[in-house]
Amino acid sequence: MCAVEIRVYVDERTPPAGQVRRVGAGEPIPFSGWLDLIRALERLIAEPDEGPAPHRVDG
Amino acid sequence: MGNVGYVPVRRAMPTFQGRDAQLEVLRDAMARATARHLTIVVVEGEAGIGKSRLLAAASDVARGRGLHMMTGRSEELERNRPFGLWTDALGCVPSSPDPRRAALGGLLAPRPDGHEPITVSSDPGLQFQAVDGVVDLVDELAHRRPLVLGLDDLQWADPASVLTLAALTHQLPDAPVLIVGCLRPTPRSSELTRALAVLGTAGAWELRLGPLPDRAVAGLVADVLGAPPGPRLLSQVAGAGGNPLFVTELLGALVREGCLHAVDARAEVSDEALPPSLRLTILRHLSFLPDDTLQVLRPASVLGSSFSVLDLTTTTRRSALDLAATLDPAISASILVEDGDRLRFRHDLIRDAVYEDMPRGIRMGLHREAGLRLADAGAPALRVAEHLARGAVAGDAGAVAWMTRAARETVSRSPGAAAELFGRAVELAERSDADRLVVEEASSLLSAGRLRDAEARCRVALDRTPDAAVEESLRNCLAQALIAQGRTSDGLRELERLLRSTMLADAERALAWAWTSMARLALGDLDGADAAAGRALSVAPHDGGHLATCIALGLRATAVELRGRPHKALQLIDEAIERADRSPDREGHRYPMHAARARMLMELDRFDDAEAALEVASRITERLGTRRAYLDVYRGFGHFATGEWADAVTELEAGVALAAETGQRTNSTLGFSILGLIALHRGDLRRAGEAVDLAIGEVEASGPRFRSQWSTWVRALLLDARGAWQEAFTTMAACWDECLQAGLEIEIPVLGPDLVRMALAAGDRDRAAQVTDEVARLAKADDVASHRGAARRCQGLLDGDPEPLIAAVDDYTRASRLPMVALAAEDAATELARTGDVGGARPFLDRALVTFEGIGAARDVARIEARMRALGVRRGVRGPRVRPRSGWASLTPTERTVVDLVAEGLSNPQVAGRMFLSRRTVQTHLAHVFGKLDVASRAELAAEAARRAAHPQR
Repeated sequence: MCAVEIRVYVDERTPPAGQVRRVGAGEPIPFSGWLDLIRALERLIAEPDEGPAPHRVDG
Repeated sequence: MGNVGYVPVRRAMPTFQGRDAQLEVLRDAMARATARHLTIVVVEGEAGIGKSRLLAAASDVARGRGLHMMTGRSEELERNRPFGLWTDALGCVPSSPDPRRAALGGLLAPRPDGHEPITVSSDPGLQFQAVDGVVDLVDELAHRRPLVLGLDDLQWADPASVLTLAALTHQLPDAPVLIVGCLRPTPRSSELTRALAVLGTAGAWELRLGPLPDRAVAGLVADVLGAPPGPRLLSQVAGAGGNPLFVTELLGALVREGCLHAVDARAEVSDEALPPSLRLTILRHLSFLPDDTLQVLRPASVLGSSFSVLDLTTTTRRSALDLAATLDPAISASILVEDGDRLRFRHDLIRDAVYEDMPRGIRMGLHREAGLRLADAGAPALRVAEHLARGAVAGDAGAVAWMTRAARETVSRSPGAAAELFGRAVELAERSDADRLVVEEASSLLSAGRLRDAEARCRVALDRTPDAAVEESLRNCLAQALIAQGRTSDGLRELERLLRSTMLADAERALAWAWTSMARLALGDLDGADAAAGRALSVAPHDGGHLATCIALGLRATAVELRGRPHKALQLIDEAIERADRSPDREGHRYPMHAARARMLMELDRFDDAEAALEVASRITERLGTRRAYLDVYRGFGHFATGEWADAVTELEAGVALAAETGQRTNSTLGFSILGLIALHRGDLRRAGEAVDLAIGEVEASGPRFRSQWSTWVRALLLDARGAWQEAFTTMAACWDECLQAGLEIEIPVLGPDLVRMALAAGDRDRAAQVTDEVARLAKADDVASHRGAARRCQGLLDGDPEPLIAAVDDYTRASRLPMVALAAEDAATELARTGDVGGARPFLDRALVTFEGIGAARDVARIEARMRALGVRRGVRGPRVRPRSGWASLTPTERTVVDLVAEGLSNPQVAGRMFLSRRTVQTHLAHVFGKLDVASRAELAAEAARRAAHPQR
């Protein structure tokens, strides 16, 4: 277990749109809608402490 | 506490839980429907609460009981597709192997000629024909075995489907049909609100689905996870408020996130969390799908809760093979489910969550793109328009054009839906186009019977001072809306303003004059009606104006009829019919020529010819797709005159009910008046009073109308029967004066004899003499047996002379007017007895008694019997046996024909078709037959008829 600080920048409220970034690591990820936000958060939480965020490969 | 293992989802679609009591209600409803009582259950509850699952469970029960189960569902994106719900439920498509469904599907298909602008004189359309078609089909299906109709998502139902639902409850009260309608509390259209009120009045059962009880929630969790929930998990799912969809989605999300573990054989959540929202829970669940699947679910959600893969290939420009692979994870996770040849989001709320998670601008762009691509692919205008409307911004001429086209294609089947589409086009259109479209919107509202809305739209647009051509159309529409509301004088003022316009084209001017003539006739201004009809005929162009010409000719004939000159009226209506036959597409027959002809034939005492004319009128109205409340009333009028009162009541009740349903109330005053008259003669003064109140109420609410003076006549007779002789006389005299002043001489032979009798009783001999003179003048002017009879009856009463009264009996006999025969015979007997010739009076008393008995005039029978007792006269040779109240001998000839056809296995719509009656009339005849023969079903009736055929004496 480790503590992760994530900041969410909201430009629009309904549905939410903006950027999300993990403090101290990586580039902000844009999102548009809750679904995007949830998935961005999952990615940030899953990222290792160092290095670029791994891209999910589907299919 | 030790973690034993990961908990999987055992079922994405859990079994039905916690609704046993509600299912029991539906079982009871099925039993009631099976016993031939149309039963309606309205299931209401929030989204996700389990309405559709309850319906599915009920479907299983129905099938298990051998009932015919059919289900349909309304779609949010198809709220303007006419009869969409019924097309879905009954499978009415032009390609159906069942000819009835194929015919109905053909009727409901968009009309290729539907691109002309809609005006107040546009064809009234097919809506009611389609409503009747659906009701007929339901009736026929239920005729074979009891039918359960499950109608889901009624909150999205289109106006025509809602109208049909209300019509079913009116028209098939004894059909073995259960309707289970499911809906959310919101949204609720005005049409749906009205229909629910109708269902409530018809005794619909209400079933409100609330939250699942805690035990059922625990059971649901156990079913989904295969293990009972632990306390923390129970606390977590309590946040779902007993909504089973919410519970299921939440469990799905928790499982996907790996948050559930087995603890001591119970499913338990790792950590307590804040109560989530349903939408976020759904999205959490969806977030596990691959990127590409989510990217396709978004445009899919734009297509609606259900969509065809073909449409999705069109709008995404991806191949079906590619889409199949991409959507597979969503299907595996039960996000999408198969629905026939379409795919459907497992629940509307899942679709809504995906759809509303996109920014509005993106949604609009996707709709616009979908609309354009569907248009390129040749999709129906309505579907294209629904997308373009959602993707359009103000001033989008392309979207306005598609919506206009869709509305014009829709109007004949569902003017209410067309009005909605026009309304949205008006909001988007540039000012100059918007005013023009308001004319079409208001005309559609008029056709939909939303008269006040039509009036309001016209007034708002007129306040904006539109250009001259638009102003004329708006004013014409406004006039129609006012006249249809019974505000005839206001409507007439608008027509007069319209006719002052110098810009009006000849065809429109002719129509405006024709409407003016109609309004004047309704107000009882026969001279004005004549003059206006003459102007219509003089300005109607030769190559157009057919409708105006035919209306004017028909009205001119009607004015002559009302003046009490039926021979001339018949000649004029025959000329009008000839002209209507020659009009393009026989559009002149939109004025009910043959029905008017039937009325005139009845005035001439030619009842058989009138019946034949009504058959022709029935066929024409059927072809035009209009409803025919007036036909039932006219048929009832004829049966009343000839003394076939059981059949008269059946027809009249059907006619006034249909009039109330369709808003075509022109003849309902007459209908209620005759019903009152029959009740009075039968001695049921309470019912007579009710009918008279209804008749007079109609006039008070919306002004005079065709032969509405009958309501006053019957009121006077009722007062007379209650002993208020003086008031009866003054009422009658006022009615007479009003008719004479207006030139409504058609009422002279109707009112004359009763007024003479009342005037003499009141000691007003001058009045009696004056009335007698008028009746004699009319009888001389046109040679009609019943007019002659009325004149002789008045003369005999005035002079106290039995001879003219005896002659009147013969006149009325030649006229086949049995009630009048009996009344004249009674008068003749009274005068003979008064002069001391009791022996001479006796055969006339017998004749009156036998005739009154034959037609079921109990009150008159009692009066004659009292008179005979007073004279010390015993009845002579009995006439034809009085029809008993029950058993085969009690059936009227019409009822026997209905029984024969039912025994042959014909359904009500088929019987109606054979006999040129409305289905509603057949239904009423059958209800009477069931009562008289004490049978409870058609099967029993058929068996009884077969027994009767084998042993006719029994």
